[in-house]
Amino acid sequence: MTDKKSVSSSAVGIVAMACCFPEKILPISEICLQEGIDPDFILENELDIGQVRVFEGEWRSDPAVAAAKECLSRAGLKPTDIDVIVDFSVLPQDYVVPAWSMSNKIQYDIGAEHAFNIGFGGGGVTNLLAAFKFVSALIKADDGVRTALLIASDVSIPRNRVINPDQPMTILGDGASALIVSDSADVLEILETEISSDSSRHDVFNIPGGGLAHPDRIDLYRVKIDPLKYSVSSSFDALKQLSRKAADLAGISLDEVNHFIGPNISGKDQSRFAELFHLSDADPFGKNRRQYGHVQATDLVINLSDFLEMQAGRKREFGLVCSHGWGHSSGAMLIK
Amino acid sequence: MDIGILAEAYYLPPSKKKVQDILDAENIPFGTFAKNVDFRRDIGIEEVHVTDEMPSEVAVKTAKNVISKSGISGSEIDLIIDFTSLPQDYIGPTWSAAGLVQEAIGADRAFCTALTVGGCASYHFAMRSALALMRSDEKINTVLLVAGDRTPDLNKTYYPITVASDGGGALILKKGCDRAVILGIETISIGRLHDVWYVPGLGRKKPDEEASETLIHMYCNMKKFNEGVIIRNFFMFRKVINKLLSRIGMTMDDIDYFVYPTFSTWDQKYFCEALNIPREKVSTEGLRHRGHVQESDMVINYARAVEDGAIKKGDIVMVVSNGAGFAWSAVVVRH
Repeated sequence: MTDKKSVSSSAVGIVAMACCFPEKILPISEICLQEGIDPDFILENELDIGQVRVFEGEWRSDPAVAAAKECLSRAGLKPTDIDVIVDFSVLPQDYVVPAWSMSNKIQYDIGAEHAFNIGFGGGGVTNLLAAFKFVSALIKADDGVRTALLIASDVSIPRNRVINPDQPMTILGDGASALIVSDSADVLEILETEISSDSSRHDVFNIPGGGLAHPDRIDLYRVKIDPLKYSVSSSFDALKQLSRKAADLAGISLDEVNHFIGPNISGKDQSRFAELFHLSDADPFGKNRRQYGHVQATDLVINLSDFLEMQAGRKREFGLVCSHGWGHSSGAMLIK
Repeated sequence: MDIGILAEAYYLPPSKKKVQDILDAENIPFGTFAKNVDFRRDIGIEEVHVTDEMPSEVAVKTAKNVISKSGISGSEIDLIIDFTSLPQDYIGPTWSAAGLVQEAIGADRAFCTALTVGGCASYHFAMRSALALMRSDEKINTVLLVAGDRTPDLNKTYYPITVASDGGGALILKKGCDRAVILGIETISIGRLHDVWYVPGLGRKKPDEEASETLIHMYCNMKKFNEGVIIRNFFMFRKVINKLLSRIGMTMDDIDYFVYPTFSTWDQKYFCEALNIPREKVSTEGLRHRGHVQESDMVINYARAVEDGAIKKGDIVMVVSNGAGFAWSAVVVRH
């Protein structure tokens, strides 16, 4: 590092993206059988997820290594070109975080020997938007950073794919993703990233067991979403406010944004998302949700990749990448 | 515009435990392990702070202390970064204490997140990330960095390094602040050493193993520690320090005081010898009655040095650390 004499005004953007999904497919019927859930219950709750990918290896970080290598290849970069590696994973990792971090392992596994390694947690899917915000800042204001590798790997806790079995809210799939962000991107420029936190909902999305509060409660070592703390209206209201703010800061109106990219939580969640932003195509990335389930922030990467494909050959348009973070940590990133 | 440390503060639980009792309870071996060093005899830590509070409670008390000391209100804070390095109340990266801290201090405008990397060097990684955001975003003017750690009852000894104390450290970074102005910061990561220290967690529980608190104990891969960390530790310190000094146009002679973690007597001795630093220029006083408070060592040792008059206005201070994962890091401030 570190401190640049003046803050760079170069555009920061996404150079390449890659996702890695395990080969094994688990249909919802099989998940319901394993977890003792009536499949009709999934239908009733409008999840609209048909299957998920399942990782069966020992190290949860392995899919992220594959995604990182593929991403570097797509970007035409060497591992030694990477200045910082940022982990935006959400679920438990190879070992307990923050005492251990996947970004260090990735640095070693891909040979990014010039990089320093960081990661951001506690924000659910919004971890990715936090990572974008910090990485954009590092590229603009830190002399040691021009190129960043963002990575995540999320593998479900065994038999904990249907979240809140009494009132299913989503079904978790396994997968990993990687993105390279730099000041020499000419495809996806990051214009603004706005994030906010509602502290009263800090544990809305949580794993109660396995930490110091309940170290030996394996029965509590499960992702749960607290239905009493998750408020649909306030979560989506906060998201709308942030989206407007990001657009304002970029000097455009929200009406000028052509594409809205959110996570693949459920059909019901997507309907609310479509209603919020008055989407003409209510479910543009529905096929990703149906075949992969909810893979935390990797949802945004796979959807963003599809968005890029859809844009091929068309004039530059605005897109908004959003996450309500179950009302605790919300974010909106405007891209061009 | 300058960015300075408006205030730093800490919280150390009032209860203490004798280190010899801890070593006995944790079956720490007798005898020398290297260069005639006997961990039990030479560690130099007599007692450490202990608590039954959750790490988040430690972090909240620490944050309240720094808010009180700085004279600002919680609503002035734009960003909160939790840089705790040990396991928290709930599992990371799914959860962090940052939200609880935000609520407790009324930082209703802030965005909160957790820095999930760096071990004891998370202090520097959090600071480096915060500085970049403050420099590039005109809306981010005041940042709270906070950490709170509590070790499990029978896992206070990090053999062969140190004995851990419970406690927390926090600081407030502010634009336009002329106190402890940050002149430069540097970090180096060596990912090959990612699993020298690790906490297995319930996710690594074997099918026939009972779920117990030992799964959130810190473990050391001794072979990797000896072959990977020990042989390059002071080389890496020199590297990160020289890189930073060279960039900010200073030399070791310009540094009036060094804030360094309180690990052990032999570590402090080797640090001073390897880098040719007079002992009186290094923060060592906390070792005997406090031990090692993880990433908060840097905050506590800085604060204590200011209180004791070891750091005076205008002094050039280097805060330096290493951290599991592995990382070496340094920041230079003009107090």
